[in-house]
Amino acid sequence: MGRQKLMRWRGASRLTVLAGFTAAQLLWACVGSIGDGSGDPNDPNGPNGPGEASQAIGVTTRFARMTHEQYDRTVRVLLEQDAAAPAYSEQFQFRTDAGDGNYAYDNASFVLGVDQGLHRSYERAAAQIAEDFVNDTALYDKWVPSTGTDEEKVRGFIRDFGELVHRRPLTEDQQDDYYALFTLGSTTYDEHQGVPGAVRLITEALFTSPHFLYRTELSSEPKDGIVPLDGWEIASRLSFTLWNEMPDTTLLDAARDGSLETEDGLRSQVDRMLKDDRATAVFTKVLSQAMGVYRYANIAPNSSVYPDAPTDLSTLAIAELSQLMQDLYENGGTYRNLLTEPRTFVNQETAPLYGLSGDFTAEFEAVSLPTSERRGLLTTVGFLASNSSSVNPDPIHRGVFIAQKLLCSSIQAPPQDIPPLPTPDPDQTNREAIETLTEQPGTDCATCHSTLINPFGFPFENFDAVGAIREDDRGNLLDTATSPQIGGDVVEVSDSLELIDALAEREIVYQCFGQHLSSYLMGRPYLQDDESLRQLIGDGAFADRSVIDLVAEAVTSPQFTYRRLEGEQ
Amino acid sequence: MNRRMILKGMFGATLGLPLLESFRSNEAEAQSMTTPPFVIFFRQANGVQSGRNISETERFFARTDNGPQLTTASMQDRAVGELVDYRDRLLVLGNVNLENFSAYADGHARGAIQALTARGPAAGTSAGGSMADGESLDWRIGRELNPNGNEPLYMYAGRNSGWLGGACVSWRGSGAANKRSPVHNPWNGYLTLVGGMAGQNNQELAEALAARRESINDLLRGQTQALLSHPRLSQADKDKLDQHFASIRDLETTLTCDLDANEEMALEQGSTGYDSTDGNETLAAARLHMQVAALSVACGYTRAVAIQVGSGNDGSTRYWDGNTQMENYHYISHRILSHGGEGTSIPNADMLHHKVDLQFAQTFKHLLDTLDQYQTVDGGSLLDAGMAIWYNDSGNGPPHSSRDVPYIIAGSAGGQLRQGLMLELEGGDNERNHDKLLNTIGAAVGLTNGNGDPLDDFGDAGTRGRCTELLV
Repeated sequence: MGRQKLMRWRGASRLTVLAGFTAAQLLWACVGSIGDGSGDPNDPNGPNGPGEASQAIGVTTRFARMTHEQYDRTVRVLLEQDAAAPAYSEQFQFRTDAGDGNYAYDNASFVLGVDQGLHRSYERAAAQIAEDFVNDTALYDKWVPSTGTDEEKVRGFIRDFGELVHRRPLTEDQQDDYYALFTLGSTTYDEHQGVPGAVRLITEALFTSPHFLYRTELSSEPKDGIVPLDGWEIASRLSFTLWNEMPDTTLLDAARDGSLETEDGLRSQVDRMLKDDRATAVFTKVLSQAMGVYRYANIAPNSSVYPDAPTDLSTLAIAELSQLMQDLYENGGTYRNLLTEPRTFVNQETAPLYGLSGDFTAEFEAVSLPTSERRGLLTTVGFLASNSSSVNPDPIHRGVFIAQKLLCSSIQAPPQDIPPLPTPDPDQTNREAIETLTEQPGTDCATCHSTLINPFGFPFENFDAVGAIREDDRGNLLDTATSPQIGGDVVEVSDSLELIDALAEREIVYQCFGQHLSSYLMGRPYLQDDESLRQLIGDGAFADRSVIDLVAEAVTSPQFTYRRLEGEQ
Repeated sequence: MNRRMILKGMFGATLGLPLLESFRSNEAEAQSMTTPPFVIFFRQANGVQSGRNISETERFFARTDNGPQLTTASMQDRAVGELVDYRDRLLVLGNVNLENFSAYADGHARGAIQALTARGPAAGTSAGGSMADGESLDWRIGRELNPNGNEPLYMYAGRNSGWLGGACVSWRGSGAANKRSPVHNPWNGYLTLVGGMAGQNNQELAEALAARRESINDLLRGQTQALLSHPRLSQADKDKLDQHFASIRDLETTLTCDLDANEEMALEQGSTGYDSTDGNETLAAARLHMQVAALSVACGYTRAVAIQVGSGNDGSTRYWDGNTQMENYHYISHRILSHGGEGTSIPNADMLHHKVDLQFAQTFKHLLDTLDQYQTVDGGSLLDAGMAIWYNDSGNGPPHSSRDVPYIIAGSAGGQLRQGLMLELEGGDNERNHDKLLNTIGAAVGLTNGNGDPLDDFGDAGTRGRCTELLV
């Protein structure tokens, strides 16, 4: 089979809805819907606490601690080090932050905090950073005035470098507090006495300050019931969200001159930032995480059943997804493109899984796949193999993925003590075995499986556990026809391609994407109060606006540049 | 050598450890010259290879045909037999039953999170996203009993990701914001213990460092308090800042329970395999964690430690069968090549599971050996002063049963617990009793209920009380 290279995302075609029934005919006990927040609105300590429920902005933490990666990247910016410089978080063994299985992204600002072990690591890292700072003559000379009294030199350093570290101007009191370390600092280090010693001790303090470790949002004066962030706060929100590091000087200048608080000024900075490689890296990762890359680590095909499958298929699938997402972001792709375009990236190891032959190398390259066989993310090797056992396709998890990740349906977890799936007898297909186990009329299993899960998974039964096309199921005829519910209708599809086209026609799929993206932008799981942000993104996605445009629209909206008013006065 | 004791140290070298200094930080305890009880939890995932609630040969628990006494014969060819040298100081418990909280919707979550909390999941969470609905016992002990506000150590060996996010047994309270982040690198655990004073053998330099840190910490405390005083903070943000405030700790130059330079070097250089999927490296890291854990209780830094091996389902660690590396432990525990319910059978998987159990037993024995090498101020063994507990999230392999969850308790908490026995808890009634066991452990360490009586109300509002049959 030949291959075609595509260099740009194409506009997606729209197909007609195939068939429809009313949703009321079916069971919905296991289904949530778009807009369901994960927080408990009755929990006074929870993120949705007893605030003014009418506000259309979901609550966010006012103290978003830097991730370890953000810490390292930010320190490199401050010390003007290149990316090859050793990471302080690794050198000083920052303990890994606890994972949260309910949140797909790295910026879990709602849970990231500081405990005793981490504080000790921050202390030791700051001591080294301070020593490195003072020993770097160029850096020292840049920030410590060379003229004036010792006090003027140290105060000048605190004022200017402190503003960069705090990412906002220091108050007079804050400057005085840092300056109070002058005497001790100037006499405590054998190798750095006087002003250099004072600068070193103050630098240690700066790099353990909560104003450095957290992205602090201190604005508290409401306007029309919500709180506008000041320019400094917007700069940090933008920068940590879009670049995964502190603001650059251009952005801080825009905060300082007030232009970041104007519509045009904000848009100008956002457009600049989204074209930067740092934004590409961030959204390549975010989109991969939104689409379940965490499951790809489970790919481990049985070498007896799939002797020709790459031994490192998991790693290769992750790389393919990353290439796909980077390409989508950089080249103005849309969410519809991601779902429907017969385009992916392969190398010499994965090309055979797609039925491609040719002179591929170890490097991934873009290819166009036959539209009669594959379309979009759901026909990539990664999705198919990560939702398979080591031997057989796993239509249950393929279905769960689509229900949860593409439709944002809430599916109750299965009951405990489920017996293992029976091994299909020779005359039984994988589908028949699963139907026997999960779709017995009147059972709890059937409530979700027969309507919400299996119908999304069975259409992919023509793909095996490594994502290659199969013509039969151990000699038995394949049955890929189902009638899944999509957005309240029942749609008859004959195979995965028709299912993909049907999904791509439904607005709910794009609103679900809006939910994923708004969750990342807010730095916590989606909440009901994020609905307006979700809809802003979802509407744009349904109208085929590019992912990069959707991000720009979202981060220049009030949902991003204001915060919810909450708590006691 | 006044007020010092010669001990066998972490790597078999002779170590001068100022136990008296640390143990006398609590004046009342110092006067009584006894070592305060402590507990070190050692957690294994995926159940054990047992004949209980499954049609497999029993290879874990001791025999009781000839009575409950642990003997060489009763422990022979069983996983607990690896601990036969300590048989007179062990309490092997059968019929420890978790609550079968259906809301967890996953056997691993039900076991891993309930094991030290005695609670179901936080509202709205389930399966791989399950969160605890309350604090774990190790945190409660540390919060109430640790000197100087020290947080109890929580340590993790193996790849810290995967099911339940990796670390998942120790909690400050309910929900994701209270999920604790463990120490992954044993060396970092030691640095946490000594406050970053490693290699600082010069008292003058140590005091200078402490003075610098104190001045900075004063400033940081002021900044944190100022942030706390901002208007309209949510409770979640207040909690976050409170936690940060409590984490700003001055160095204690008088609590010199550090190692000498050679010992530090050995620990640092040995602490490389903590993030491995290799079973041997993972258990080696667990042993180093145990060394630090023993040091931390010996020094009086903490009264509770939790050591977790592997994620919620330990799904990435591959242990060894001689020179052959097994499939990942979760597959082994399922007996098939799958994290789910369907997959190709693994030949002799039950025996492989048993071999994993043996390796955990040997690792646990290392903890007992280490604790036993420390001598307390009253001349006894540190092991006898507290409790080392090897437990599992579930009772067996494929069903991951909530019944007959293994609890192996070494040490009597200063003579409070019966020893040398294999007991069926509460007469083997097959009812929930794990919460009572946690209360028993908490009370033995010194926790009390709201009335000042021995702890009997830890966990949810299910069954309350303690397992008095375990007490001397």
